[in-house]
Amino acid sequence: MRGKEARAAEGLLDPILVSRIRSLSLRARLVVEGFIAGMHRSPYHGFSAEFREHRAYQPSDPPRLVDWRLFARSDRLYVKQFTDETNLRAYLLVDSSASMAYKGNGPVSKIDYARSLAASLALLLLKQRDAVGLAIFGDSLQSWVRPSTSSGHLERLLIELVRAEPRGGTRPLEVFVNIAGRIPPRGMVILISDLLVPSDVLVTALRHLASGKHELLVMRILDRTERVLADTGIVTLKDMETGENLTTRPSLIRKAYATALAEAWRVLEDGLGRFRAHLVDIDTSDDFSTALAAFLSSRTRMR
Amino acid sequence: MTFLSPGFLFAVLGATVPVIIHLLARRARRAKPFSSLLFLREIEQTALRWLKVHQRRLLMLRIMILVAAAVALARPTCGSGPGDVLTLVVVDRSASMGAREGAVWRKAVEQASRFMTAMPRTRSGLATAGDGISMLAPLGSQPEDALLRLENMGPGSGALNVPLMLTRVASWARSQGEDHVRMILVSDFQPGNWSEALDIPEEMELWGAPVDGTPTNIGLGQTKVTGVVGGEAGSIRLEAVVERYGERNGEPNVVTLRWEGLLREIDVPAGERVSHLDLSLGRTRPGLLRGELVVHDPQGIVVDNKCVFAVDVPRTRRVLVIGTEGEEMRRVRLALDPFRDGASGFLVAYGTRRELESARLESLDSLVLVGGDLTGACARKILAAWEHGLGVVVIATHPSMNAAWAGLYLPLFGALPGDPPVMGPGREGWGEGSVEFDHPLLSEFRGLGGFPFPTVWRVRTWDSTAGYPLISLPNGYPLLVENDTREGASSLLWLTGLTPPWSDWSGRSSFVPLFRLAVAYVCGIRSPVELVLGEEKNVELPCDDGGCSYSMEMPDGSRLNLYPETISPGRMTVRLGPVHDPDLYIIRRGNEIVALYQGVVAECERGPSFPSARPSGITRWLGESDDLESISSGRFEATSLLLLLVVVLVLTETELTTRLSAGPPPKHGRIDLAGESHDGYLGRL
Repeated sequence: MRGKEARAAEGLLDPILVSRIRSLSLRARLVVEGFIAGMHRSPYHGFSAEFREHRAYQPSDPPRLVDWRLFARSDRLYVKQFTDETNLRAYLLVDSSASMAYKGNGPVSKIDYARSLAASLALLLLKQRDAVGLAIFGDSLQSWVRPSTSSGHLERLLIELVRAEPRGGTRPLEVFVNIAGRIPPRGMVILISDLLVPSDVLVTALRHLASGKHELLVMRILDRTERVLADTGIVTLKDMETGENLTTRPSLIRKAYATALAEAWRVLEDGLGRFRAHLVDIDTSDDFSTALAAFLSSRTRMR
Repeated sequence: MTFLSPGFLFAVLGATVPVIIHLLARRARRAKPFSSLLFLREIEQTALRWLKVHQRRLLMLRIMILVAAAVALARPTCGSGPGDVLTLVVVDRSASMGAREGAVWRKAVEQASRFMTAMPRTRSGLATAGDGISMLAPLGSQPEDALLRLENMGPGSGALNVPLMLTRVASWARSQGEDHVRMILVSDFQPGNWSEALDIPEEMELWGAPVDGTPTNIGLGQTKVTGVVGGEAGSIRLEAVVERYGERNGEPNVVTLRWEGLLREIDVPAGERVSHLDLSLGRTRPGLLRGELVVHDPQGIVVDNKCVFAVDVPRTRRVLVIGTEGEEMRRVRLALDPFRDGASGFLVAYGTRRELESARLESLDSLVLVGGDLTGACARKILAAWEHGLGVVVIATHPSMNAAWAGLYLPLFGALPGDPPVMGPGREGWGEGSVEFDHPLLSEFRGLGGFPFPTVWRVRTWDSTAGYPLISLPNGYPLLVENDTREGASSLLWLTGLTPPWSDWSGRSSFVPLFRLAVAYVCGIRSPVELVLGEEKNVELPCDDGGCSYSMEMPDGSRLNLYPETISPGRMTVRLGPVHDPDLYIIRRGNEIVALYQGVVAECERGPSFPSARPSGITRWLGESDDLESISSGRFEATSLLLLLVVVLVLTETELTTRLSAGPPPKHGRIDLAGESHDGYLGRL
């Protein structure tokens, strides 16, 4: 019975299925619930400081969680579980440049995937009573929502996400400097973008974001056809951000393209490593669990 | 550069197909949205540039393949074109070009025709050269007419005057306003006509077209002995065909007759064909005479061939001609004049009836009686001579006969073929009949245009009004009665009227040989039967009461028995084996000489071959197998080279396509230098 539920929960994480749901709110709930339903295997369990319940001690439980008072009264070992009340402020930075509208051959565009992922993360954070802020940017900061834990905050976030339309280019340096000036130190910054900007520029821009001792989680969303060029004949490609045309034969430059991509990513990873940022590589065909798990991993590291 | 098959040049348009496909493919392509060209632009700096370069190379290669293939099919030729250089085809018309019974000339005309056909009319002419030079087809004229005239005119008689020819051609070119002329000389290039250092004018380019294509013996003369008649009086008459051509080092070649250590140069005009040679060799004794007829150069080197022959010089026959001096006798003398010096083997004496009556028949071989005035004594003498075995020729000039003639004729009837008419008094009106004339002599006349008289004649044997038998010989009807009375020979009585009329005899060319033949025959002279060396011969011999046992006496005196191949009533056929020496072979029946066979060389021995002249001033030699279209214009055809280029281009295209399929090389090649990466190495620097 439990396996059946798990399989159903995994289905809720499928981006193709989720994309068929028009309501972003519903999408986010389905993703989060599906993710939480599968968390029995996850070691990340309970972060809050507010006591919620007792449970029987398990041999692997840390001794510091043992309620020694109750042990004195009942001579039984129980561990305390808490509902955390943190002052974590998380900022979701969603890229809405024109390149995010790229869909490739699949049913989900990068911006759709980013919306669902951002909504899910927001819901998950709000469930943890973390304050969630949102920045939607392209070649400029298009939308900014201060972090909050209020009950109506999710709705506001979702409205902004829905409104986000891919357009324009990407000017990360200006945008990230702008955002960095808006957020206080020691927050969590989750960047959802295709990162299709020169790696050295991106690293420089991200350095500004990381300068406030933020936990920086970079989620790179790419379509599969962006990673590996399709094996086709001569084709003219039009840059969605600049409108520039390029005629080439993808089948002949696949190797070179892969090499160039790997080189750019290596530079990016090297740069991110310097200020302990984490990069999560996501394909639009991946389910959301990968991204959510990465988020939880980063969240854990902050404790 | 011109093209031998320019129609294929349209195929060059096919080279636009790859370009059109390329352009259409570019135009028809719709832009496909892509998130960012950031990394592709980066590749553009390296890989795409490489790709473009290679694609353009590939496109160029394909265009080049199509262009090269089309041009190759069009057969391009390099060099000056047929219309670029004024060309004069000159045919050598020297005497030697008539060698080989005209075969050399025909070949030359054929060569000239090929050259003229391959060249434009407006820039080519045709001329002949011998002692001088004459233009047959000026520029722009129809070469067909000129070639026809050339074929009909045949070779001339002189030698090729090379310096004059060169000068004239150069001046002709100047008269045409041209400063450069190409002369194609069709010639046998006889060595004697060419000096080592040719003084070729600067504006002239001389090409040689040897008639035979390759250096060979093109014939400086020919001899062929076809018959020999000997004479005891020291004359010998050769029936031979002799031709002489050319010269060497300015001196003409020579025809000589050599015999018994003696040598005589024979005057044969250059380029002319002499059919008969009447030569007095000073030979007086009868017997076998051997000789050679040779064409050689002034140094004595045999340049073409020599004919070796042998002739049996017979004993001279004595002939007594009886007639009354007058117009008739004068004409007979005129007719017999060639025999006067014994050239024909006859010794002729003239006399009257009185001399006939007193003549000693033993000292004569034949008797000739001319005229109709015949006495009884003469008739008796003639009959006696005939019975004695002399050859007798009676030329009757009167259509009617008198009693003396009857006395002459009547005894002859017993020897006539068929049933003789019965004659006698009281048989008036009887005796008119006909007898067909059939005699071996008829075959002897074949070479002289046939026997000139009717072969069926009628006789009327009785004239009642005269009271004595009369033979009426219509004018022109001969009577031949043969009587074999002498060993090894037969005598003949030839009685004939005069047809054609007497007055025409001396004017007829056939009379002399006819008369000679008749006299020779009645004198019992047998011309030797010719044997062709190296060949067999079938001989028909009588096989009658005299026996059928024959033998052949060889030149060394030995005898070979002859056995019949076939036997029919009265005759047998013997096959004689090939003889290899020009000598006399005698066939005997017992001791009787039946036939003489004389080995006369028919196939003459060829002299040594010698090369044609190869003057150093000639810039190009044209062979018969050369591509006329290419050769005539002096071009180099580049088809094979272009096809080779196509193959190379196709291979290159294949290799390039393979490289394009594999894609460009990696942008950052990791070059390991002492264990460090390329980047690390540069950084350390």
